[in-house]
Amino acid sequence: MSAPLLEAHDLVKLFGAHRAVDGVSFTVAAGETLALVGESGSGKTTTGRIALRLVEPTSGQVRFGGTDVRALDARALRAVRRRMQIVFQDPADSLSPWMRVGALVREGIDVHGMAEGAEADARVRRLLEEVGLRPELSARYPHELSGGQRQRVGIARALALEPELIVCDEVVSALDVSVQAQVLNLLIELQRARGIAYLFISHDLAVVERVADRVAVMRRGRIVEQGPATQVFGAPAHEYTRELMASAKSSR
Amino acid sequence: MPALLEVRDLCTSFVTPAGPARAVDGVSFDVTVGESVALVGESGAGKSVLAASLMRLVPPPGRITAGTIRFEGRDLAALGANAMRDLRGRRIAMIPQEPSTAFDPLRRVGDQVAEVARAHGERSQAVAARRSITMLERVGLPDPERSARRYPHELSGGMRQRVLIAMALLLEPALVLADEPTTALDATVRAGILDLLRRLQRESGTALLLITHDLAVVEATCARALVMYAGQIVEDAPVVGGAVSSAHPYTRGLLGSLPRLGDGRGPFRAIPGMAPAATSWPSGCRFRERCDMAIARCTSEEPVLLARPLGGAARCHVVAHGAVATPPLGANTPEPVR
Repeated sequence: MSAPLLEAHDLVKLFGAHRAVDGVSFTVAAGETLALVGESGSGKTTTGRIALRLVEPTSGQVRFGGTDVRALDARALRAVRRRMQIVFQDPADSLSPWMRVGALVREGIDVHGMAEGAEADARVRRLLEEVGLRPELSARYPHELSGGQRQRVGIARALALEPELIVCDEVVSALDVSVQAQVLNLLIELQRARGIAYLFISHDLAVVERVADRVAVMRRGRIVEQGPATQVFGAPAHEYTRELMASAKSSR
Repeated sequence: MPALLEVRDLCTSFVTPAGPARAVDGVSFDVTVGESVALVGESGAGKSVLAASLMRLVPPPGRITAGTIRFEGRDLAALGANAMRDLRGRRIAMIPQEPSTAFDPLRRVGDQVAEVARAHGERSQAVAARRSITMLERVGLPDPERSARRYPHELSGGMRQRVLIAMALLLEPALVLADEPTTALDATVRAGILDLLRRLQRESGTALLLITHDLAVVEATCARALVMYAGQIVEDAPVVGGAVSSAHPYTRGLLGSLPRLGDGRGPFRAIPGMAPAATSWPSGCRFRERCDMAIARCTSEEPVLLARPLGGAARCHVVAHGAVATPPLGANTPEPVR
């Protein structure tokens, strides 16, 4: 078996005396989806940020493609950052309101010098098409779009850098159910077509079941159960997983 | 059971730079005494504006432009502001969506519950306080005497939601409107709140109109679902055996889009396209552009809400002509349209 794409070992993050992340280890293989599931305050979002080194852990290691991400200098880190992207819960907060859609998608292509001039324009058009946005939307501002369209722009921005891993942080939580289904279908299709790996962070077990190969259930900063999705959902070993599943079934 | 609420041809419009937005556009439905009904829809469908219209709390520049809201023998659409204020909280109450913003942060929660009784004529502060504590106990606050002395920020989101339910039910209203009461809560907390709502609703005989985007919450809580799309009710669907029994292609598309634990891995049967805007509702059937069942008539003629033989009603030419094989009542997972 080849080395995992992302490897997190014994991550700890303290906020004061609070152990937000408390000894978390996991791997994500190329092209697969690992879901981090948990309720608010479980530490799943902080764990995702540490994986991208957007947050420095108090201790622990993160390896991406075999290299220790924490040991990288700024230049090397930038090269690795291109290969791992993040899409946030609320696209309205993560898109500069004064930039048009086309410029938002093109930004990363320019910053990383991936293409220039007409070729960059063509890439932007292809990316918009790939995420299901009409080319004329490229002249619009984020506030002129629906929530679902904005989330597609966020996904196009991430795809522009041809990443091997995308951290999806509650990407469909703010969307209506019909839009949520469309965006999840898009993520599933993109993974099939491009072989991208996802670290899929969500509070919603039913959503996770649709997309995950493997699942790690988090509670109070720790992973209480981790395994193949079929196993975790089919025969949950931990009491907390069973509790989460029961409440997802009764109220959902 | 007699009708408690009879809404007829209700229209609520907003003036916008893009022209008038008919957010609620000809809505009619009944709620009977003690019934639990869901008002389901996605963003922009009009459910929140409809709820605000029923409470006569439509924010300007919105206003009710047509129709009647008959409630306990009076037309709320035509009622004076003072009479409406007296009715609100006493006969028709609302549980708001956001437990963190619905409170005065500087007052103890017990006092805020008691204030509801005081505002509606309870002279004795001691009586109001006693009622407040009794009600806090009914909604499951641990050690209600002590909890009553806490400030809102000292309670968890779930506990704050319970206090809001206590405030809504304190005066035993005939109708409670609950606007997405569990959306802001974690799943484990949400189940408890829904259980509480169901139990109190049954015990007190209050009718419940639950406004939500979440069909799963509907199935767990209500006996009937009014499904809104583009300002109209497109389906009145019974909930049978814990499942929405739907015929309308939009409702079925929503059900196909709903993630349910146990469905396994893979894509959804999603509805294509986007919902139209309230400033430009399409002619004919408002769902036709996203509907794979649409026929020529769906473009030329607007469908009406027609009763279905086995209960419920749907606003759909194709359903009316029997071209859709509707699942038998009680079928657990309705066969998807697409």
